[in-house]
Amino acid sequence: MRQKGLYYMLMMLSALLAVLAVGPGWYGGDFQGGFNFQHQLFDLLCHQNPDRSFQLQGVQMAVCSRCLGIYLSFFLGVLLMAPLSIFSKKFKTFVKPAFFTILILNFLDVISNEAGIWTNSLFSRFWLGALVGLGAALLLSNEFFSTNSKSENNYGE
Amino acid sequence: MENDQLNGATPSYWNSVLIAGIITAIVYSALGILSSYMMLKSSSASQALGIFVCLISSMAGVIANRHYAKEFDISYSLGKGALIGFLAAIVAVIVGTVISLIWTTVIDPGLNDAVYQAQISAMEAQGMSQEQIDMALSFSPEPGSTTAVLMGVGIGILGLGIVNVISGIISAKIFASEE
Repeated sequence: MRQKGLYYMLMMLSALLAVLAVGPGWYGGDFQGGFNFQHQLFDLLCHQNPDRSFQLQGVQMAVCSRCLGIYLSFFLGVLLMAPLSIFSKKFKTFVKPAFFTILILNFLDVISNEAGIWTNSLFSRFWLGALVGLGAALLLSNEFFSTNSKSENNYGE
Repeated sequence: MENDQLNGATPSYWNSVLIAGIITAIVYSALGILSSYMMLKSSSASQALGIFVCLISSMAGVIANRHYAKEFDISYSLGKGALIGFLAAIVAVIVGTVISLIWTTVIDPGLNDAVYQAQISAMEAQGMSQEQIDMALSFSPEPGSTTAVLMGVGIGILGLGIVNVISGIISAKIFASEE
């Protein structure tokens, strides 16, 4: 494993985002008219539209379903980076184009839904978002778990 | 990786950080202000606008890293990408706060109060009792007050900071990796 410090930081930050994104519902907290800490934290990052967000124990989550998919799957992807790196190594040339394809798919989903071409749902947005998070983790996995390249710490030795 | 260090002098990333921070701040402030006016007019376009701006604030880390990597044609570590993303987020929050303050104190001093009233109306429309509304408002400082501004900056730096550290790492991998 390389860049241990950065990997653990990434794991902690993605865990924090995943927990906060779920909102105050999981511990029985109140929505507080959207003034709770979690909703304030994601205010600049997500539209937090009630119609496009999941609820937990009757409380709206702090982010929309697509963003929830991104945060949860990225955290899961960071946890599973070791096995993901095997896949990433095997399909090295496809990982970056696949990530961009996923981003374009999400963009097309937003555009086509707004244009009335097709109607997406809470779950379709969640799963498309989840692909972004997993794709990002897959993209980064060989930076931390690749075994056939020199460690950055030993670079030049 | 770390071509920059191998060549001796490391070019400064501050130019890229400032450019990305300012661009992001202008975009999200403009969209935020526009969204506020649309909300006051109860326009459904406000919601549509919101859907398009989802995660746009994470662009600070992407723009900063892309600019830095392409400007100097260098590769560098993911950690440095994270730092650049974080600094760009801080710049974005500070510049965005200044833009919002200028707008709500000089250009349209009544906007904060109007948005506050609209939020109360929205809570009433959701069926919340007066007691619940008072309770909810007690968690929020008066709009435009020093406490509200400082809280906004603090929460903004925390939220945008974390997300842009991650977008910075991903961008460094895409734009500044030797692969």
